[in-house]
Amino acid sequence: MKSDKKTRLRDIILIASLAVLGLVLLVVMRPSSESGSTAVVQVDGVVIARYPLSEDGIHVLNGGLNTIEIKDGKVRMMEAHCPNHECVHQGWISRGHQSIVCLPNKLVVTIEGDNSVVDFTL
Amino acid sequence: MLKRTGFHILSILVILLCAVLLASCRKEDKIEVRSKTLYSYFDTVTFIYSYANDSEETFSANAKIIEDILRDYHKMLDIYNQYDGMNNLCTVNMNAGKDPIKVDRRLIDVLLFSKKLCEITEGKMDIMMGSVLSLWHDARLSDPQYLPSDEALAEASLHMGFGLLEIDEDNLTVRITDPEASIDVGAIGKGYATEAAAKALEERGVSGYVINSGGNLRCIGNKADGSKWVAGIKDPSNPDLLSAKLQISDCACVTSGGYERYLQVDGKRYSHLIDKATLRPASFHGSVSVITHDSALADALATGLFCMSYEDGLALVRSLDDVQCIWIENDGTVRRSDEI
Repeated sequence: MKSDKKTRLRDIILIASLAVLGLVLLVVMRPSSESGSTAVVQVDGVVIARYPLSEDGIHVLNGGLNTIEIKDGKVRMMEAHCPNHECVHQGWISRGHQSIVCLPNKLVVTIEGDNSVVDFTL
Repeated sequence: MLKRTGFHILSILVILLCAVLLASCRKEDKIEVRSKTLYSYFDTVTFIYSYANDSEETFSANAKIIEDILRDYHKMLDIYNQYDGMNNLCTVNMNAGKDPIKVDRRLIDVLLFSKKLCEITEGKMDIMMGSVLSLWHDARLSDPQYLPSDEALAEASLHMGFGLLEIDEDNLTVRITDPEASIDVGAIGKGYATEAAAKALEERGVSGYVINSGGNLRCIGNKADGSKWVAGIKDPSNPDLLSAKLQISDCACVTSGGYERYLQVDGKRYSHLIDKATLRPASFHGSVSVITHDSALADALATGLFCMSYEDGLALVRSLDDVQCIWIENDGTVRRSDEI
């Protein structure tokens, strides 16, 4: 009887310990959320601006040649003064391996801080 | 007794916690990736990356080696502009039907490699299609875009084919025999230049670098921690999504697809890759990715395979050493060659 009680107490301690460990694990290993990602804008190889993807907004860049829009954790080229608008056609991006390129205006938008398992996309 | 049990459990907990923290710290101990962006070569953006954990000075020196080589090949293979003090493909094209033109040994090598690939792909990858490709190029760059007429394409097709190019290896001269014919190395140029740059780094013992020239990926060695890079192949019908992922190191991966550069007329998209047999954009596949060591080979094969059926393509891939391929079909089906 006495040993049963002891066992139950040990069980409780063990379960409680595991629960605490689980909680700690959850906090430590939590994957970084989307809100940590940043859109980085480069013109001719120089970073000219950084915008957190958590803040919706429209930004006119590059002397008015390019306009990007950030919404719901994603970024896209909304408008561009370039011949083919290939950059606008590229649509929304949000992952570290993605980029938007406007070659005529030498502008590149990349994503930083996203723990994507993919290094490059083709 | 109870106290001791509690102590034991506490000890185990602390040890576990330490292990977890250590593991997560190691995960944070990431490679510092360095990168450089180039805008001026092969009508595309080139990214140079170092995953070698090297210094800024070493990276700058290696990036300069790469850029110098890309610039050299860009000038040699440019069909739109001539440069002082050199004969390039623009010069060769302008002298079509006239005298042989003396060129750099490296340009002769590009043309000989192109000849070999033209034979391997049974003419599907042919650099002597300039007359036809220029019609599609002009149509794509015009505003509004249009489709070249059947008559214009039929007329241009009378002036194409590798047989119209004379290469004199001994005298380092090139001559196009038909005045209406021209060279266009769009299918092979940046892959060839990227390979030349990668080889230059390999010869210097460099590892942990990646050159990404407009979807023409060439990995040199592995990442500094010995791991491989992960490349995602875009879904051609929705480039936000990935159709396949693969781990690569020490090799090239080149994708040919119609979803990035295209011509749009009446809401219908036409790829920029032209099938020699029909003189029109190829529509066999959504995209074709080739994985092999040599970036020039990968580039040329990706174009050739995009312009042939899966069955013909698979037979071709099987006939070659160390070449793997992923086809993303128009309906989204993913097909792979034997060993990938």
